[in-house]
Amino acid sequence: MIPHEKSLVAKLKDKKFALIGINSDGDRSVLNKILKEQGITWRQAVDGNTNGPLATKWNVHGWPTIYILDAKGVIRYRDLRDEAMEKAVETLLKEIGQ
Amino acid sequence: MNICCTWLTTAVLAAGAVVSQVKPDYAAEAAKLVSEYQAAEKAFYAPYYNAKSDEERAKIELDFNKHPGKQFLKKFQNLAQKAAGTQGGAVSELWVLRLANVANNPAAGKAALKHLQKDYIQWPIMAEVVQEVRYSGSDDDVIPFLRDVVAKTNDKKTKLSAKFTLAARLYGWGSSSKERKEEAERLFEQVTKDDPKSDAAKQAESYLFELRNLQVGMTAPDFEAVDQDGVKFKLSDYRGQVVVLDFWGFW
Repeated sequence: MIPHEKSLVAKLKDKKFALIGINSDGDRSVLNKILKEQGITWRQAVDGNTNGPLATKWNVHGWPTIYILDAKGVIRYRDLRDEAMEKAVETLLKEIGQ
Repeated sequence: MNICCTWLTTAVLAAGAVVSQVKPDYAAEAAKLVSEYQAAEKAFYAPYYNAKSDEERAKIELDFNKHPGKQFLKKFQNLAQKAAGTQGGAVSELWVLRLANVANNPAAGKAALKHLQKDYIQWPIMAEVVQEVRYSGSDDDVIPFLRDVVAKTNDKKTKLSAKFTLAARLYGWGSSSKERKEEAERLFEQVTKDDPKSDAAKQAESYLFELRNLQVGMTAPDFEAVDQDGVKFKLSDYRGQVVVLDFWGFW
């Protein structure tokens, strides 16, 4: 999952694309240690733990849970990983001529 | 003197045997089996928990063929049969259900659920059984079971918990059919009204939020968060871009 996300972020760095993690590992210092170790550069929402405010509001019971949104902010796919995620993102980029 | 004592001991033993035939304490037998299993399980995982570092832990490979679940599943099955219709029998069936997965024996779990439905639906054990099937067992077995509990139980708490669990199983992970989602929504609504302050009601509210705001085709609700550098941002800052939201943890 993480290696594929890294390559996706690198490949699409000049496109209108953002990967946002919503992380349940701990506070900022805990998270930053993991990000450094794993070489993760993309933006993270610090949600604290598995009962964090975002995970609770969005009713997340399994990790990872993935939502893929188009440029208008509409949820278009759920829980696609790796190659399937990449394909979905490319389809949505094509819709906005990217 | 010796003869006398031997006779006396035999008499006492015989009396004990008669008593235990009349009223065997299956609840105690089941409780003993549960604590034996818990000790065996603890011993099985001990190398993992006793590892001194993450590195050492990463090297440990547990041999799940040696997991005590398989052996104890048989013991609980035997006791369940012997103690059918008693509290000890009910507890044993619950443990067969619990161990079916780790013992790689879904048929045993299915049979235990049938027995619990048929013989113990009004028993207090149902509260634990309902919790057990939140994430385990197949929909084909668990959904009809939960429908039956909702219909038949006289215990209010168990009914609420069964209704919530039924709704959660019907909803699944978001990819269920339209009909199943509609029924789930109705049930979640009932749960929030049946006992608004309960934990089940709070969880049902979250499911209702997901059903009404987080389905494919809906505009994702905005949120504000703080990032790893302490900077506030909003999801709506990303309008105009394709966005992947990944709820994750490194564990």
